[in-house]
Order: sequence, then C-alpha cells, then structure tokens
Amino acid sequence: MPSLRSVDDYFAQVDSLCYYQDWETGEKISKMVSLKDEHSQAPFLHIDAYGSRTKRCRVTEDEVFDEIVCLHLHVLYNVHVAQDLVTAQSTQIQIIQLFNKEILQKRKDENWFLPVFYRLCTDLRWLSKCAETSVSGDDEGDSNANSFFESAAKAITECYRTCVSDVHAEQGTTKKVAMLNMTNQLFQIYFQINKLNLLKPLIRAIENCGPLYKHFLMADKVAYNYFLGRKAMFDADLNLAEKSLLYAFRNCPAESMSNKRKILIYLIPVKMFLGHMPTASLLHQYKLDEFQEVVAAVKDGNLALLDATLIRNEAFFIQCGIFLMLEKLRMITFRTLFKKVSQIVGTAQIPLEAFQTALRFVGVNDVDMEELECIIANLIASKKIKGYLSHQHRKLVISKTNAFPTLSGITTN
Amino acid sequence: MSSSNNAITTTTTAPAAAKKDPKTTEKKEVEEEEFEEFPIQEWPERGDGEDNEVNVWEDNWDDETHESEFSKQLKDELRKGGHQIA
Repeated sequence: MPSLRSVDDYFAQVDSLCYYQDWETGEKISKMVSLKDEHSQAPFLHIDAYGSRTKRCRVTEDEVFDEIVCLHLHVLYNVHVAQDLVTAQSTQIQIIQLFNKEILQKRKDENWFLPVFYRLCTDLRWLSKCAETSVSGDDEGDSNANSFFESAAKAITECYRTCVSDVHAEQGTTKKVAMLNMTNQLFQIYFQINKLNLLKPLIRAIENCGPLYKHFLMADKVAYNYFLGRKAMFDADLNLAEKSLLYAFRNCPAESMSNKRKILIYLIPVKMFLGHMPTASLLHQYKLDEFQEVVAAVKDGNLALLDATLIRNEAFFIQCGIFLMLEKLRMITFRTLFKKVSQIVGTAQIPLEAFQTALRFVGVNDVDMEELECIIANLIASKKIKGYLSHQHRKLVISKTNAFPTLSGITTN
Repeated sequence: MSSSNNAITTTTTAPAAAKKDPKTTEKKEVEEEEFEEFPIQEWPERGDGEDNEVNVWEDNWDDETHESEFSKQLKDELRKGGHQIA
C-alpha cells in the first residue's frame, strides 16, 4: 500500500477499498482503522472531531465506513495529542456500537467486513488497558476498577449476540463465523478482570457449533485452545487442559516462538502432573530454564530442591500464574520419594519411620506422623500408590506388583 | 494529577517507540501476558500425532535404570537411620 501523505490520501485509499467487498479487502481496511498500523503515527491524521467539520474528505463509497474512519481519527487524536485515553476508549466503543447497529445488524448475507471488526475489538482491549493504567494513579479507589474492561466486554457481547443470531445466511457469508474470534476477545478481557465463569455459555456455544468449527481461522483456533487450556488448568480439569494446550502447541507456527513459549508455560506443569516430563533441551530451546530444577526435583523425589527452586523462581512463576499449580507437584514428588524408599527397603511392608527419615533427609521437618499418613492416604486415593496403611503397625503395606504405577498410565477423572 | 500524567506518558510512548522498529518494540510491550497476534490467519491444521516436535516429553523417567546420586545418598541415610536395606 502506498504511503500516506495527507488526510485526502487516507480517505481516498479507504474509499477505493470500500468498493470491493471481499474478505481480503476487509483485511486491508482493518489496517486502515488499526491503532498499531503505520498510519496511526502520522501527525496529519491526528484530528480532533474530524467528522463534525463542514469541509472535509469523505468515504463516499460507504457512509458507515465514513463515520467509522472519522471516529478513528478522533481516537488517534486522543491517543497521540490530547493523551486522553478515557475518551479514546469510549470513542472506540462508539465505533463498535456503530459497527454493530449499522453493519452487523443491517447487512444481510455478507461478512467480508469481519476482519475490520476483529481489529476494532482487539484495539478496544488495548485501549481499555491503557485507560485503566491512566486512571489507576488517581485517588478513585477500587470503586470503578475494571470499569473499562467491563464496558468493553459489554460492547463486544452485544455484537456477539448479533453474530450468533445470524442463522439464515449461507455457510460462506454468515456472521456466526465471528463467534470464535469474539469468544477469544472476551476470554482475554475476562482473564484480566478474573471473571472466567462468564465464559461458560460461550465455551458451550463453541462446543456445539457443529460444522461451523471447520470455518474458523487457524489463528483463532490456536488462541482459543490456549485460553481454554489455561482455564481448564485453573479449574483442575487436567485432561482438557492437556488436550487443548497440546493442540495449541502443535498447531502454533514455529515462527511464533513467543506464543509457543507461552503455551508451554501452562502445558509443562499440566504434563508434569500427568507424569510426562519435558526434556532439558525443550526447556532450553524455549528459554524456560526456570523449570529445569523443578523437573529435576520432581523426577528425583527431592522435595528440598523443589521447594528451594520454587522460592528462587517465585516471581517468575507467580507472574505466569502457575505457582500454585507447581506447588501441587509436591504430591508427585512425595510419591517418587516414597517409591525410592520402598525400593531401597525392598519389602512390601514399609515402616512409616523410614519415610520420616527420607523426609528429614530432603529437608522436610514439619511433617509429623499424622500428616505423613494423610499424605500417603491421598496418594493411595489418587491411585498413585497401590496398598494400604496399617495405622496400628505404623506401616505402609504395598501391593506386590506395580505398587507405584507409572504416573502417565494412571487414569484421572 | 502528576501521577496520572505519568501514566499517560508511559502508555503513549510505546506506539511512538514502535515507529523505529515496529516488530520488536511492539513484541516487548505485550510480551508480559498477551498472546501475540499471528502474522497470518490460516494454515494447515495438524491432527493428533502429527506433531512437529516429537520426543519432547519423557515418560520413562521413572524407571530407575541407573541409581542417581540422590538415590545413593538416600540409601546411605536410611542405612544410617537403622532401616532395613534390601
């Protein structure tokens, strides 16, 4: 696309694009209303209330896009000149409401403009975050914390309703195909404001969308599976978490290294919990060396090392939101330590005292006999140990065969 | 007022900086949490078992084929503690 020299240029380009009404053009127009595109930096496009000028350029081909573009310039003005991100955010909401009312609701049997809509929503999320940051310094307390994300979610949800009710159009032109992108937009907002429960009906709608699923974009499918996997991990649904995150990892292009890395940050703890350990080279390749000692500790049953490395990398793991998940790996580490003890002792009846000795050896001094029995009972209940506790004899009696099943072979429910 | 001004400055310098080197600066900015947008939207889907990266997960880490240093120390410790050793 030729570079822009003036407002006239800008309008002329949008105008000429609006003539073609296909998906590819939709993608081109989406750049013209993007806050991250090169044009957004051009000072001659930072114009306050351009739409209310009597003498101005117009997108004659399409009145609605004319209005959208004017509002877009107003957003640019507020971001770059007035530095009023609150107004920028509310103007972006206005654009989305306009888009819903005049395009999504009125233009039947066409969907070529959806790429534009996706871009507007993505930028609204970005503006909401900026607006949030810009007011968080004010002394308004937490009363309206998250209100920018809330208003963004509300606007996007209204559009979502419009799109899912577009049931009459043909497969190729239905706006229902926007469902997945919009679910992803809302997923990201709800992650920010901690309201993942609101996603339930949206997830169910995707699950039940039938043949439409084939028509979603791969970019959206990968992102969706990443978000879904993260949510499943927080909900302790490890099987769904593994399935979704593996799909995302497998289908994320190698060039998108940082996305693959983000997927791995959640996939690794889930996989470990299910008994699959990441190789040292995988961790190194994706610059996730913070996990190296965690893996070594879990493999060895070395609780002291596990606790130490979790504390050492606490900031990183908390920032990623996986600290609590990694702490749960202590259970597996107990199991592996006890397995080693049982192999060393070599009998089916193992005195609990031997486990106590092992625990003290790995620096765990705060587990008394009762707690030890509790840990072992939990391991038995979760099928990680086959055997029973003899409280009276202070012994663990283990099965003669396969007393410590391979973790990856245990079916979890 | 000064604090909110600061906040605005930080958020708005990012796009300005992005002009110099749009790709890398933008990446840094969102790297913290956001899933990055893909440069392309469509590519062939890989099914189960069509992974590009294989052998990145170890399942048999648990078969004690060789005794680790940690296991040796644990054995010594149990022996010292007067426990039966096989």
